[in-house]
Amino acid sequence: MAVLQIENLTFRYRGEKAEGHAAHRVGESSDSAPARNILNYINLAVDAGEFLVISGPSGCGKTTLLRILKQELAPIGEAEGTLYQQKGLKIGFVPQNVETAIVTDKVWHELAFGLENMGMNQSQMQRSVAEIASFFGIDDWFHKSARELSGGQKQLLNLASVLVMQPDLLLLDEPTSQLDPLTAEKFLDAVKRINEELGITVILVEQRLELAVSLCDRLVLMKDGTIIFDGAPSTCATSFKGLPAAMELAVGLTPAIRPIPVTVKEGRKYFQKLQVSQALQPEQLKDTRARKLKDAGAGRESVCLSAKDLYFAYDRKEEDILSGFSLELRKNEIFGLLGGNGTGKTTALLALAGALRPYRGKVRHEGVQIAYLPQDPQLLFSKETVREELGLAGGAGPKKTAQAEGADVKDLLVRFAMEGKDEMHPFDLSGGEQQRLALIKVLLKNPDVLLLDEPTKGLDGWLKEELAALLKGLKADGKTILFVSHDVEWAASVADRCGMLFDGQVRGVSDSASFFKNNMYYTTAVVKILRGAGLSAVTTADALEELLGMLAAEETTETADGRKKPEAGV
Amino acid sequence: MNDRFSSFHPIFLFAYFVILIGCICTQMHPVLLVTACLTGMLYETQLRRFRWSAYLKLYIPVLLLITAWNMAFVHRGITALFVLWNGKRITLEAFIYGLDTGLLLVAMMIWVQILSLVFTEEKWMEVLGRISPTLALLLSMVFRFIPLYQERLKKIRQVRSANAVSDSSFRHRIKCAASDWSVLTSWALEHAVDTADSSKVREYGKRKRSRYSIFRVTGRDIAMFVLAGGLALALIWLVLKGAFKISFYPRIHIHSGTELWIGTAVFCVYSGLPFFWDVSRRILWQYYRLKI
Repeated sequence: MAVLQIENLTFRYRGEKAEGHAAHRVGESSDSAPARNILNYINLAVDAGEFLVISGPSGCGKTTLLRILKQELAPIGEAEGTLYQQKGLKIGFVPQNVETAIVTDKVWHELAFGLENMGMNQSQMQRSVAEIASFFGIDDWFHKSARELSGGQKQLLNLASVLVMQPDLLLLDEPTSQLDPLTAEKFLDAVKRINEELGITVILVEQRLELAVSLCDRLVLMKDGTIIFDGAPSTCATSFKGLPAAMELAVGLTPAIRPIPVTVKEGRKYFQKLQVSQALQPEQLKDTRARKLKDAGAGRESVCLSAKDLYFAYDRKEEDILSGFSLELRKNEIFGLLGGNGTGKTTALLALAGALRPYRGKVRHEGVQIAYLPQDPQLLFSKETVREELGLAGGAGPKKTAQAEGADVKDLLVRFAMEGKDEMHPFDLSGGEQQRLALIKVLLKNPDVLLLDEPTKGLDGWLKEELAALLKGLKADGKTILFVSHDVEWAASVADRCGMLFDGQVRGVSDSASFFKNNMYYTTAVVKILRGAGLSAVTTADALEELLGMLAAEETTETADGRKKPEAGV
Repeated sequence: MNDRFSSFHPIFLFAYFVILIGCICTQMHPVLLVTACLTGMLYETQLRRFRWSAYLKLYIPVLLLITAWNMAFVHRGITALFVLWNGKRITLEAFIYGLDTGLLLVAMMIWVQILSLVFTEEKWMEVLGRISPTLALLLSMVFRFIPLYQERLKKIRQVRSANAVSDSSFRHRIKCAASDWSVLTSWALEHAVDTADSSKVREYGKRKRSRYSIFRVTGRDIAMFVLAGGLALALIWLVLKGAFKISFYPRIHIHSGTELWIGTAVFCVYSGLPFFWDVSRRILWQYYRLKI
């Protein structure tokens, strides 16, 4: 039975927005906004107890769709079509921003906040709160302040404090965008548990599909305000960025396959079958590897930034965050520093940038200018418009004539696909645009070394690809880039060299191909799937190319030799 | 912390401390004040490690200073101890009065210290929530946002100094501070909307709110309330009857009668309640443990 049914829903924002920074939007709305539909003839029926995942690139309308479903948050604009909801359907909504979604200062108060608003009596509240706290294992931190919690705990608290109101339908708006992969996995597992054990219908808007797709019953993919796919993940052959590596690989190699493998485990099974049927022998694969292996020992390039034996702690009584941190950054390379949460990645970057002073050890910059891009680009925005924002950054740098500066800024705006946005308020830009603006702002100083802190946080697959291209372009301009991240897949696609930050030190530094090849756990999904096959590729795209090439070669040799496949497989 | 007394209901604790501290503030009788100091010190040992340094560095100097002050500047009283070169008399009454005032201050400081240890943020919120639920919620949100903004400001500073041109001139520093502040406020304004959304989706403002409390009134609370209430009533009655009456000038006059000794005994039990409760609990607990 459908709890929710949407028929032919079309939505557009009004030409002038009733709320927010209306003044800043005028310029934009006059030429583009009135005509554009955010949602275009959406048809969607959600059954009771379903676990639905909606995904799509930023600005495709998925958040708008979700907000339309929750009456209190419904955006102001013109909507057409029908929205049918089951009578008395209670809807819970978990917002995206972990930090600002928490209203009160204590965990217990936050859990009770919704019940207080409902005017529930004391004994009922006591029971509901106790129940939900033990369901999520919150007992240990029930009396804590919200500020003492980790990011994962905060988001779990947000979930619990919505769930305590006993909704029938739970809407989640990119709840894991600010969490690291491990924490995100735990969070989504909790959502799955709610769906399975409590029978609550879940609609999850998510960018991180590797995790979400394997949990959901149904996948809905959106693009430009329309639904382009709606069905079980194992039937999704649509080409879409951010789908799990197993799906991408299987659809790329054998487009007709059903069911499509989703998890790494299914992917491995699929690949093993493929190896047998297509007679791809490990020996044969090894040859390709030897051929394609890059020249790793290209000689020591000149080092432009180095740290030797850094020790750092925030307080004399606290444990060291960096203990013997050493790193040599070569000129004109992209270096990826990977590590889990709380391993001190941000601390390391700040120490390299000179914002934190290690109590032992030295950072050597050979006269290079360093720029630092924080995780959250909003930490850099202080002005009303993009133009002013960039003007300020130019002023702080070396003195130039105003004209030359203007030309520089224009140049960067065009290059970063930001032209025409210069009258907008920085906070009105989309996540990807905010990050590019921040990048432009730090680039105005014309730094030699760029330090990026978790640059892919909250970005969708398309934006990540754009960012990778941008960084490669900057490298071509002669910049050196160091980024810290836990996004393994993305790191594999951009980095020249990689290392792991563990226990306050950098370990296992090597060129990125052999880094990911030799890692067992900390590596890309495609390496996990193709383990033992001896491919040189560490990214899905490369692997796909390599395998397709091999399959084609296989076919030509087959026809030349006149042999049959099964024989070759034996 | 070995203390169990502070786990009583905040409303009871609040009333208890108000009466106790009120009593100390208004009564000048040295017997009462010495009792208050002693019971306070004893209870403090239950709350935390006894701090000799606080007594040596703060309480005793306060006591001596006030005594000396009073002796030096007040010359009333009929019993002259000695006469100064300028003909001013240093009197026994002034000395005793100074000592007594000092004692009062020390007793008050000890008990206010205890109050601040016992009354955590949550307990204040509980008491306040009874009076004004809206104010309590507002305060709870303020307590949430202050550390959040502090954290944010710290991050903003770090990011700025990571990208900054090294310039430590005063003007530059002022400019940086202004810019940091501006970054913080635009962020705060933007995200206040998120918080508003978050409370809206949880039905804030739709109905009259109720109030969740993590404190519950138990039988233990009621028993203690009856006991302490009885003692408090007796104490107030005795105070009104003038059991602790004392006058210093021109001559020290103490009403020492049965009323005083009954009053002292009652006050001793009342102010000693926290300590006696903790100790009796511990003894009882040891006894239970022996049965294992």
